[in-house]
Amino acid sequence: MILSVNNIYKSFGEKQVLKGISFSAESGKALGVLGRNGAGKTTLIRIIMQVFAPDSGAVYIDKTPISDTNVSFGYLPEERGLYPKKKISSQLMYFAELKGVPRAKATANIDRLLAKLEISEYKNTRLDSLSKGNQQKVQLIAALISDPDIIVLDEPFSGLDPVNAGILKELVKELISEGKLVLFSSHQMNYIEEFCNDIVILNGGHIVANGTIRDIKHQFARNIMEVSCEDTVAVTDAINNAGMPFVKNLVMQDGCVFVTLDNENRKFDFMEKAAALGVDIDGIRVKEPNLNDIFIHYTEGQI
Amino acid sequence: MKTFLKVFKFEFLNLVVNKVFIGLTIAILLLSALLLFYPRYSSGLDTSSISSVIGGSNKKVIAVIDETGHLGEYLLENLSNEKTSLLDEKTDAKKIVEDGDYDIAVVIKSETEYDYIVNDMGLYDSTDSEISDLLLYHYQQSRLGELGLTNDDIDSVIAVQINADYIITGKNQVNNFLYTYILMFILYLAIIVYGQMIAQNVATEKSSRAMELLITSADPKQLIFGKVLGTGSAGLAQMSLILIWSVACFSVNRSAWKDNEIISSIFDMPASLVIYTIIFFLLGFLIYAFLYGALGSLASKMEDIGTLTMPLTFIMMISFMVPIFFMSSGNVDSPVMKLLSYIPFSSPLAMFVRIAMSSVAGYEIIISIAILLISVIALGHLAVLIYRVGVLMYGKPPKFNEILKIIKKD
Repeated sequence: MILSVNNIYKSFGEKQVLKGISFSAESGKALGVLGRNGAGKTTLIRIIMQVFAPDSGAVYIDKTPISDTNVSFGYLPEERGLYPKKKISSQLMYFAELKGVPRAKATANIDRLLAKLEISEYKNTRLDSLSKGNQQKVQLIAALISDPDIIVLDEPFSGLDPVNAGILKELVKELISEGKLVLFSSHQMNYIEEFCNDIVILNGGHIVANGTIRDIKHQFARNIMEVSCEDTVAVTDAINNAGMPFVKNLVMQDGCVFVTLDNENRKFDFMEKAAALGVDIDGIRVKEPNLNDIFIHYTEGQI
Repeated sequence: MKTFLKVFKFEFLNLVVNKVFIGLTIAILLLSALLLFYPRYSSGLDTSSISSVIGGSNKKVIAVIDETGHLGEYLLENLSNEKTSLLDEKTDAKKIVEDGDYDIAVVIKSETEYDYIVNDMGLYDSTDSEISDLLLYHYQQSRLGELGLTNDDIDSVIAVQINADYIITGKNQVNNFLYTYILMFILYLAIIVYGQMIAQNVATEKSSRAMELLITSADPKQLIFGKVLGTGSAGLAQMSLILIWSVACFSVNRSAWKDNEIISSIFDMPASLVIYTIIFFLLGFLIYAFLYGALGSLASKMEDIGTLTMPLTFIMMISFMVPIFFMSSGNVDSPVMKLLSYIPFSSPLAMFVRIAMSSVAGYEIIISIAILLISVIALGHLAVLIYRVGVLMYGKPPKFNEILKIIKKD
């Protein structure tokens, strides 16, 4: 199954939130939807889930306009919350029934997912008596209860301790391997890198980057050199005194000196001159950009 | 339709298994039973003591102080109150009342003059008029006796009874007033209480963010219709239970209440009026409930509910107060009431009062109900549009024109 978002525009009053958004995603993969707060991620997700209609543009499933009949969604919103005073089993059953899941199947799904997320003992407990992390697990079960085709996870790991985060990670990996299409929105870039092959970065209502993480990293300027050494102060002084006009910036961090060059083509010049500095250097390599660097690069300064 | 039924069932059960709702229903049922079984467990007291609470005169302790020397005994013999005593003429009438020894002190100064001393004058206190009647009768009898007439002749002139047969072709407002008032009050209370409940439910779902999941799981139309009709049905079930229970309690005790016109008139109201009560409750409830639901969707915090729903509650209050005014003045068919009978927000109460207390043409009732029905459909549609937009708007509640702009665009 391929989800295609085609030239979506949406505004609220005078404010244009989305300005010609297009991308696609396919089953069995996770797509990271990134952007700063207010970039339009939630609006985009709601349009995909048909909560809002776009001003123009359309969403397709396998080239057919999206509708309730050709796709089903599971949604874990960023703002968590169910019915605090109701029993977990009864509210999960309510959400399952709203999605048209027969009672018997819903009961089986509830039991299975409660067991998988290790909260079976709370089945007949009121939601507000659970810890925040366990409430979050219940919310995730509500999203998965109807065995949907597309799962939208908005900040699924926020507020979870490492053990619970581990349980959730396993479940997300399982869902992807089962062939679900996962739309993953998060500011925790390590999780995006762990689960997603592809990402979409929104900024100011536009897509500023779209593609596989590998390709985007590859396109990203590789102009930072990582110099490993024992004495970072001596190395920094030596570089500063060596007269290298193409060096823009020097940062000492974690036993290394990070040297920003004005151009990635000057890396061989830098390596050559650094080798001749006469200070003890263990190694020099090009620093791989991480997703955090890429995110900041594309979204810094404007919204 | 399936989703609507799920929401309907959820909201209905949510309310009927709610401890406060159950507690309130049981309390009303018990209260109703206590009142209607009163004659049975109070063998020492007659039902007139109930009527005294509702509207009759209470049995008070009366002191008569006679300065004329001959009228005291006469009053003592003829006053209907058995707790009347004749005291010495030197007694300080004001003091004995202030001290609480007597409720009323009557100081007879002459054949046509007396002081009536009472601590608090009751709304339904009729002792003063009884004393005035007795003194007048005594005066007339004395003066006419002096002219040579016998007591029988005098009575045949001044104590003559005028008999009148009342043939009422329409409604008797005297008999209908109380039950009309009670039913109208129930309608008003039910619409306000259940309407507010819907607004609160919607706002709770929104503020607890359960709405995020709901709105992606079901169509907003089905959500608000299920919510409104589920809550309305729970309310109707509660009212029906109370009504059936009260009728059953009254039936068991019917003979004990036969002398009490007030209680009997409530339970002997025409069946057609019960049907109109249900029709106007349903339509009136729907008009307000849809709007309460829509307004609830605009609240981000529970504190916003009061401000948002105040105009609607105010309209409902006016729609209640105006018919009450015209009921009290006995002019339920005034032009204002006729106008209110066709305005959807006021017609559930105004038209109901007119039907209960006067003779309204059938076509007028049909027009009123038709306008209500059309308004329910139109406002239901508007409520869905507001709800669809409102449930996902957070922050300061939007102004109505902002909402309209978004709705228009969508």
